[in-house]
Amino acid sequence: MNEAADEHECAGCPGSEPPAAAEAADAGKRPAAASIVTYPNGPLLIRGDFEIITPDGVPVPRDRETVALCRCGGSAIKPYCDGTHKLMKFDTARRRPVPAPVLERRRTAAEEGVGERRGNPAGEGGAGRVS
Amino acid sequence: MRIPAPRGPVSASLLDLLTSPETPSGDALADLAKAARGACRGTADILRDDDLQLTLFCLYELHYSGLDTVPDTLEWHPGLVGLRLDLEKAFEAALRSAVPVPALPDPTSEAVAAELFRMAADDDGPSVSRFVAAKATHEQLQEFLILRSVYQLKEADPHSWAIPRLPVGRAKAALIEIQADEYGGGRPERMHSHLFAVTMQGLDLETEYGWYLDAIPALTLASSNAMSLFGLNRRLRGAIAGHLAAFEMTSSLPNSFYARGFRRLGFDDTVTYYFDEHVEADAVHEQIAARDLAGGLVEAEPALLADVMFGAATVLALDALMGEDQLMAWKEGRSALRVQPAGAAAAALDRVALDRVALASGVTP
Repeated sequence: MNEAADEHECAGCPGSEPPAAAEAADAGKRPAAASIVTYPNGPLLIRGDFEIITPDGVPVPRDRETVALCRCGGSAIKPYCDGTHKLMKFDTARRRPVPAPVLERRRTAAEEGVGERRGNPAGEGGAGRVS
Repeated sequence: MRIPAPRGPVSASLLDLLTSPETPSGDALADLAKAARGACRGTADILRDDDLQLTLFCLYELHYSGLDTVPDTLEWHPGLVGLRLDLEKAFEAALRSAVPVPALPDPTSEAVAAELFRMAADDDGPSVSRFVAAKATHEQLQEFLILRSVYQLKEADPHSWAIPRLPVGRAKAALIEIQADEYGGGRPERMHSHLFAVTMQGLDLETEYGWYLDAIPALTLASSNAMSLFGLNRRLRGAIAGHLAAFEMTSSLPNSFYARGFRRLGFDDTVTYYFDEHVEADAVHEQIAARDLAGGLVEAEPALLADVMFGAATVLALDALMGEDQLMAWKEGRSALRVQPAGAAAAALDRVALDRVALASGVTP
């Protein structure tokens, strides 16, 4: 048990199931191996059988079954959440205002045609990136 | 736990009865209960009443690790349970009048969580964590750990009383998920109470549960007693759920400040690990506690809404009172502990120093 817990690979771990998994079980379906809960104004909680790795495939140190991943960008212990979203008044329902210099760079990029090939000159994820 | 020094007539009578070789007689207990009820009526503030808070603390201790030399059979002695109920009645009434509870949200998980997060964010109580981060001295860090040790060396235990008291479903699953993490997820070396002891060791403090009890002010005992009150009474299961939620929701950021304070004074990762662990763990726990535990319980049992919010508000109110006392003492250059051992500035609060104080005040250690 302990070794399995250490490696966080207990697929059959009888941990608490999030509501979605419980519903799936109720409906006689097999619940997904892992689930991600999107908490409003807060982190993403991941439960179940999953691994967190770097782009090179190296496991990111992990000390608990269920983890919270930062999505406000402010955490000092990324990829994990440290509660900073509360100080930032992170609001998942509102898109944060894009800083003026970023808008300016984005406008310049659009004029030069950079990024349009992705059909996403001003979309999220591409914000501020001109390469 | 070792037997503490009494702090007044009620705790003195209780400790006499508990340590007597005879089982307490009905008459002796009836007298004690009468004296306790009188003291509850007469006290200016039960939250700061050393005698009554210590009495309650010792009665609760019978349900935790027990008291040295006191037979375990006394845990459910009807006279002692009756005495506890008398004290609890006065204590709960004082909490309900001292703790401001905001207007109740809708009885949905979402509304309850939103209100709990708002309460935690708007909490403008004095910030011990900021003081620790920026200013605390080595001795103040020791005092900080000693004050915390009352709860942290049995961390999570008071909330575990709630497990069999919650209905099968979302709230119980959430509570157990949080508690499993608190107890180390199956690894004793990762239990939070153990990690706290490691931190205490790093500052040359004793890690035996209850070692420093004589140095703990009434208000800190009241904070621990509130958890036991909520946890041990099924009718207050809403309050213990709300209490844990507020506990978790006011933890991750302050713990990053505590870690900073200990690092500022040169302590290494071994000492700060307890706080670093809580930054990460409580960022997980607060989401689960607010929405699934507190919110989930309210959805299952809407009648518990008011107590869930009361339990949460109790954390914020008692933390504010304790923080005020602690910071005022430190800013005035005093100790925040109840007794100041001779030469405390240099020496860690060891047993010898505490015993010296006890002897000086005429109490046999």
